[in-house]
Amino acid sequence: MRIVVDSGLCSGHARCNATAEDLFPLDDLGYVAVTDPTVPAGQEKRARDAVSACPERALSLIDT
Amino acid sequence: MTTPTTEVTDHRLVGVGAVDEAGDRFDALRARHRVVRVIEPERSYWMVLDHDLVRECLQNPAVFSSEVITPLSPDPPLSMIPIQLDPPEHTQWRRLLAQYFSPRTMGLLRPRLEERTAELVAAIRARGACDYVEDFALELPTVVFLELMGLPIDELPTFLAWEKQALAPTGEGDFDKDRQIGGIFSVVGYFQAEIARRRESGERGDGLLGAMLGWELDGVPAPDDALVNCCLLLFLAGLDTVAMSLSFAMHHLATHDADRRHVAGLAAAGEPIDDVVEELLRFYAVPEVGRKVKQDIEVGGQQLRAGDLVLFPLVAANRDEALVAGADALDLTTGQAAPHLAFGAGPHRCLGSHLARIEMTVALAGWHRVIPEYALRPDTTPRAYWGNVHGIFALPLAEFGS
Repeated sequence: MRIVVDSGLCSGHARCNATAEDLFPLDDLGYVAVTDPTVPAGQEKRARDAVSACPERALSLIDT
Repeated sequence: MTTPTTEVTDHRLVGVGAVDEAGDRFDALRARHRVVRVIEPERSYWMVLDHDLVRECLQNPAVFSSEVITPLSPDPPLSMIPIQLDPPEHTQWRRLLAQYFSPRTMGLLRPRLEERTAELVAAIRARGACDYVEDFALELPTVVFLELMGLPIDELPTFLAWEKQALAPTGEGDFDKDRQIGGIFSVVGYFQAEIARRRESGERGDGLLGAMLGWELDGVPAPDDALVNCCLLLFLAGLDTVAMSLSFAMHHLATHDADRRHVAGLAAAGEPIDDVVEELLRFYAVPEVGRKVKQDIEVGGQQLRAGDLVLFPLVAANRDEALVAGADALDLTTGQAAPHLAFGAGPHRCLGSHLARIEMTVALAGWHRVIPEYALRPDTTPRAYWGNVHGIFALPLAEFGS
């Protein structure tokens, strides 16, 4: 499973980070800055919860 | 495909009523319309009530411009920075401001917020009663504002007085323009003098204000009048929004025993109340955000024309079933917060949202740890007002138990 960020839509609500801080790190301004888009095995539910927490619908997941 | 324009003539942007009415007054309208034309005697505007449409419009600043942010002021005399700027001008200011309001930076304020909350709550507990609005909700964000800006804390009474003058309505719910402008000029004058003083001393001084004095736009120092403008916006946007979100939250908890006990239980156990705060923010979202249409566009089957004004009452979007099943009721026990729009959406997403969340979390947890039992003071019925921001005039609480 891989995280896909639409950075044009991210406006820094940081709800993904509040839900799964390790999977969705933030940059210094508070916008999402995913460094490793691969979701580790066992972390799929946390990733899904974080994606659905985004008020902008800026995040999605694709199965790999 | 557009449908014939549907108009309503009995809705008012500004008014007073029962506390629940502030949010409930959109329910019946949303059941009938996604987008509706509101005709008032003194103004007319479109109102978007559908969650997805509100999000999509706010994400589209090229069409929905922030040149006008409320139908109450269709020709604003001054463009407030950065809330009334559109990209790309907006983007520069936003980048300068963002790091000072990031989740990480705001997290550093938590200990000070906890300390101040504990002081305020202890004093209220000792008195055995309070007006939550005056004695707590207005004070906490103002203290934080002064500290964040790097201003002396003994300015607190002065700033509280200006805040009331600039933002609160009269007892009848009217907004007295002259009184408000007087308050705004006082704030502007204060920041002009403070910036001039710091410039003359050659030392930028503390806090965000100190940092602002070093800001550059396109390689040129930001002009002082733009900095004053930005300081005014931080004052106007950050103080009574938090105060009133807290007041609606506490009004709810004071009038819903099971919910109050739930929050008190979490606070007593030291459990996080973040989801509680999210649900209260969702259900009682206080801002009604405006935009000006820059080019003809169809929204929800209605044809909007360039120059039209649009209003987005965020509470209406947040109670739309399209957001989450059961959105028309408040439920503190869902375990997963809905991705609500209480802080708006798009590039103008509330800059202070991370501060507001921490303020609300600390304030509600700190209160309930010390005062788990309370109720509206008998024989009082709090009243709400609405306009650009919903508010409560006073919230007398008592019956703190043994």
